[in-house]
Amino acid sequence: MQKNIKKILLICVGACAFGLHQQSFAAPYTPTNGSDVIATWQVLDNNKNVISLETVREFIEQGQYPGESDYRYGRAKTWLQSQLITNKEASVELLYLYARVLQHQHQFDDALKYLDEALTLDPTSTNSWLLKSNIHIVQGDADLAKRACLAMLGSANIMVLSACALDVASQDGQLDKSYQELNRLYTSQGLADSPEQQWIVQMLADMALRNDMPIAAEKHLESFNLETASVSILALWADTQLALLKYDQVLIRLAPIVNAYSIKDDALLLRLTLAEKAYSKLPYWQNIFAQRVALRELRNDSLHAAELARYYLDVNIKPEKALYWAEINWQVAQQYGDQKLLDRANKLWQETQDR
Amino acid sequence: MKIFKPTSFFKGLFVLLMLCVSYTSHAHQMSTSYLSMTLDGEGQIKGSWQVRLFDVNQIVAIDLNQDGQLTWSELQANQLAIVDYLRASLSISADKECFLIFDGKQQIDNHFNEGYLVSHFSSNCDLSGPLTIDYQAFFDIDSDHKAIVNIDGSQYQYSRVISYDNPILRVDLLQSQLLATFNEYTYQGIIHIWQGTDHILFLLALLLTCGLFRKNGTWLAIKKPTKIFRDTAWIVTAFTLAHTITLTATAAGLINLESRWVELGIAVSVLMAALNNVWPVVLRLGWITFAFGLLHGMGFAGVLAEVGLPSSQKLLAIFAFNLGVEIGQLVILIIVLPLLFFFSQQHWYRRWGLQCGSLAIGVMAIIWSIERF
Repeated sequence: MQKNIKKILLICVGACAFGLHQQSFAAPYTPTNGSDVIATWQVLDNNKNVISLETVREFIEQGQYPGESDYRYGRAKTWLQSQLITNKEASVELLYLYARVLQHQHQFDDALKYLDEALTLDPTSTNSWLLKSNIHIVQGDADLAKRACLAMLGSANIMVLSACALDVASQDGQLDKSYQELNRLYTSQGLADSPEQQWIVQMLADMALRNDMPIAAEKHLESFNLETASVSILALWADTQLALLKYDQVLIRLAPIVNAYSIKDDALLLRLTLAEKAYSKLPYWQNIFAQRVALRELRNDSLHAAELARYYLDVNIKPEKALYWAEINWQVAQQYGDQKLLDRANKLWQETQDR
Repeated sequence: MKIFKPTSFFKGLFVLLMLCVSYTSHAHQMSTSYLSMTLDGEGQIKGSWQVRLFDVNQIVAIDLNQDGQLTWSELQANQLAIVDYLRASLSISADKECFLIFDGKQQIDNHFNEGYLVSHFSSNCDLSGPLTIDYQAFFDIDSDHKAIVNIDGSQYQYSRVISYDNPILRVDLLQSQLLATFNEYTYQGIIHIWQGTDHILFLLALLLTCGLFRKNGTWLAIKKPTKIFRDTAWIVTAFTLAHTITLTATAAGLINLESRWVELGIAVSVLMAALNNVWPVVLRLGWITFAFGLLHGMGFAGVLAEVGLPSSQKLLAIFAFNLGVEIGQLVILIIVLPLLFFFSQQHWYRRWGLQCGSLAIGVMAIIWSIERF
């Protein structure tokens, strides 16, 4: 009986996966009926042309959540670019928002250029300093990142300043000490529920995970509602679950969130793919992510090089491609995780050569 | 009674079934179009251009009832407007503009689970010169839009990606793909040195004294053109040798210095070269040129990285880019050298012209240094 159920279910899933697979590889055709649906998309509330800074601010704010991030960032970037060309005296906010878009697209040097302009206009812009620090961390320049944090002295909340500096220190060989200190500060300060509090908790979870303390990381992340969390929090949560070998949790909790939106973020797709690879033999997410990888490669997109490297390291193992993408990633991002990724890719490549 | 325990197999299957049921088939990908062309030896172009219907809807409101379910009839109702947009967004020219005729017959395709409109076009073009594809579609709604271009010639296939930063593609149909790569990267090298004011000013700062020599604390004119030519050749050779070494090493991934420091170093090199003209410390410029030339090479490599290297023709591309830089440099020399020779014979130039020119370059270099720090 159990054997028959297995068979039936396997056939259902197989047919389902086959149907999805077929959609990607249809040949050109001419519909025979006017009512044939030829394309579907989620109707966006802001399908209108981007016309104001307010709309762009909204786009960028929403862009950090799962869903239409690429679409929103793309439209925001186009509008901001046109404003910067026509408007010689751009405002601090315009420059900051453009820098955020550029940072999102991993154009770090350009983002820094606009942040510097913003900070020349307003040296007390906390957001600009934080973004600048973050970019320097990603680029592996701890000194400049620390200087950006310290530049907020006198203008920013002391907790924000400390968190910023500890984050830098954690990337600069003082992970354990920084984590303990931030944890102590956070517990003693008792911040109210605010974006700053969420930012610090996310930082604590990230540090704990990097410090091989996935249980502590999981505990930190408990305060987040995954349904309304940003992509970076969801990715961090999924990494924590993967480290704890809770693959089923990733599939059960993350899949509905990813499926609720028309655009599926590379970072989340990768986590689902990794969980599925470890947990199940049926390659549903693996097929979807394989398509994404194919499109990224076709477009020569280096934006998600880290995800592509992990894909070729852990899912569809190809040492040469893994090393290629890990090196591309290393050219723009030089954090602890990027170093680890490059080392793993190098090791795999060496092993292949030694065989 | 046998208790039915959910094994890990069933748990896994349950998760997957849930996913299949909840999957909405709205999986949107990045904005991408596909432009394919076949060229024959007679100048006939036949092509198909596949554009994402979601993107088209951002330009021409084809989803008339805005329900997110585009029907064939909704598309047909907007056929003319779409063709007008496509025609206005794509221009192909050889020696002159090729008039594109869009076929009335449109089709539908799917790429990565998304609906695409397939439009066919043709043109009869004189293909004796390089083919230029000027692509401007959808960049105004999404600057991350890209077009995957495939050109099928009678002897070779040509694939490139068009993006917001590189919307114009040049293909020389009479040459092989290797030659096309060679030409493209040589062109990029020439353009870069011409557009790279910091490299030009560095070279200029070094050359300002090429017609002069220093005696008893004053600048005097060299009378023999052969001596000027020899001195200039030393400087240029040192610069060329140095930047060739680091450009090649950086592009090949052997050196990886942070671009910010390289750019700052380049600005400082311009400043030092300019100051050395006003308060001369180093008179044998060959070695200092070589040392700073190493930094400039890394700067060139940064541009090469932005352009991207074709994986199968990396070395050729690096070589061609290098050559382009040299050609660009040579052209600058041809223009500047006779002028400097003429100036060096003038009293005013030796007294204050050289100093003023050098200081102007120095001020520029200070501004760059501050900006890049």
